[in-house]
Amino acid sequence: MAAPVVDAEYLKEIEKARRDLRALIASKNCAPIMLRLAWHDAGTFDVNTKTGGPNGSIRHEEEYTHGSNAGLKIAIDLCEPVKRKHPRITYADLYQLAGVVAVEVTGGPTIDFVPGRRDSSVCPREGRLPDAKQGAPHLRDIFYRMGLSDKDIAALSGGHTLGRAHPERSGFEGAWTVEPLKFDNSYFIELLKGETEGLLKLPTDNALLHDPEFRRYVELYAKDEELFFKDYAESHKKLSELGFTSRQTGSATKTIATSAVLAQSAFGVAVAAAVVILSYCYEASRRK
Amino acid sequence: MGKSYPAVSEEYQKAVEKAKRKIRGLIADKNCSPLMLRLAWHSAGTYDVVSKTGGPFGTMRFPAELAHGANNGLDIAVRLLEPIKEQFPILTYADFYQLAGVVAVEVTGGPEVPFNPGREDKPEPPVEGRLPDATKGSDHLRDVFGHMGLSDQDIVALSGGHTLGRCHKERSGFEGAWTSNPLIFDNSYFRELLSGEKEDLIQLPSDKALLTDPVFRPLVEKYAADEDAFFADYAEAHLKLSELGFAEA
Repeated sequence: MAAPVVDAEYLKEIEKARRDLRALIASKNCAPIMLRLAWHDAGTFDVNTKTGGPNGSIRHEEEYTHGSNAGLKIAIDLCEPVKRKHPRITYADLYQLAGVVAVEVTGGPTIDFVPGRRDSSVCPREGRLPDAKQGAPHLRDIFYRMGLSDKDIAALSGGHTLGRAHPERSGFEGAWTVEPLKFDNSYFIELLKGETEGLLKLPTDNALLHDPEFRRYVELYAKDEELFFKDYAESHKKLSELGFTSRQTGSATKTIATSAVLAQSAFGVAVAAAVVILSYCYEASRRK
Repeated sequence: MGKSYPAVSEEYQKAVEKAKRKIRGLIADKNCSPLMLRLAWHSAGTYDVVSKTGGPFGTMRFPAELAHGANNGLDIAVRLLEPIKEQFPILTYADFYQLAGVVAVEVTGGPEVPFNPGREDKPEPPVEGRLPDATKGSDHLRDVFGHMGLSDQDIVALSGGHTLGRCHKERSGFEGAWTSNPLIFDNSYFRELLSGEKEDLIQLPSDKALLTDPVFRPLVEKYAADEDAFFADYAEAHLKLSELGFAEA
């Protein structure tokens, strides 16, 4: 499918959809599943083949029935009325906007959102998202394949500050933190505290403790929420834009381009005129 | 009246941003946006433009003001916010409570009302009796809002705040929500008002008064038909309300 034309009207629709998504999340307390939807659409990206990524393909049955996406049909269905109200917005943009809003309304950092992702109906094969039962080498395999770094892995894991695992979805059960609807650095604080009755730690969470590189970040983020928010916002933006380059069009940019060309032309004419005048003066003074 | 906002330090501005995020988290966790909006409104709505008393100056934290009949239930809001306020001692309660009101509208899908910091805390709460009585009509509304210095358009637009929340028997004596989605900020309050009484939804006498008044009714119809127009007028009115007696040029 073609990339959407991101003109002033598209941007207006995005702002309206942003408000609708805030309302949806406020009324349904569904910030965690929205964040997971955005992450699972984006996290299939392969930086070598440039396949997968945040392109809305997760809305197709072929992809939402993947084991790792169990439960996400709920989020897809919740987003559908917003898509119907704003049909011009691509699913790819909508799902990433939902992820950004989910973080913001639960107290997390403001993540810069650039619209213009195209929708795809080509679904990646199963197996590109992380397996919660594995460890640090697996995490690196998965995230390096996306084009992300160790810092991204640690920061993005902090997304577990929201939500819970469900036995009928992932097979695991429980929330990682005491307030699973608040976005803060408590995931890292809990991780360093060790096992707590009633709170979940996946094998992949614990892997962050035993790997020296990851552990360094865990300790930094547990101590400094502002730093976690800054790094998280950066990593989330990267994830939400894997394989995407914005190509914003519209009268605003056209006017800037036209006036830049005019200014350059005027400057060129002025230079030429100056050269002519100076040459004349030089000739004139030579003849005297 | 023009506004002349005081300068606040960068440290204060940073505290506002952090507190804003913490308030969002609180609302996400407790679904308390309606109560936060009411706290901000009842803090500001006591302003009297002649005596320059009352207004959004942090006095709701005093037991004397919380004990006013009109403020039944707002002790819950003050209590919920206190742990966040403790993290930001630099902020005034005046600013903090108005920030909560602005955030409540934003996170439920409403317009983004601008927030200008710099309100100072006042030491004394206002006298009781300045907030509207739900059993009364248009004349009473004009009287109450006139004392604040607000207009007919402000009255109707701000009434749209009933898009959020519900009444409680043990608080106001009334019971029920005005709309079928009391946690979503939209124009459904006006649409419900025009479509008549519904079994499980509430319309206060002061809500119904908007329908029979020749100036209020066209505004109700405008906002029911055009949510963007409602959001624009609401944002203007909410900003005015939140800044009554503050930053006057």
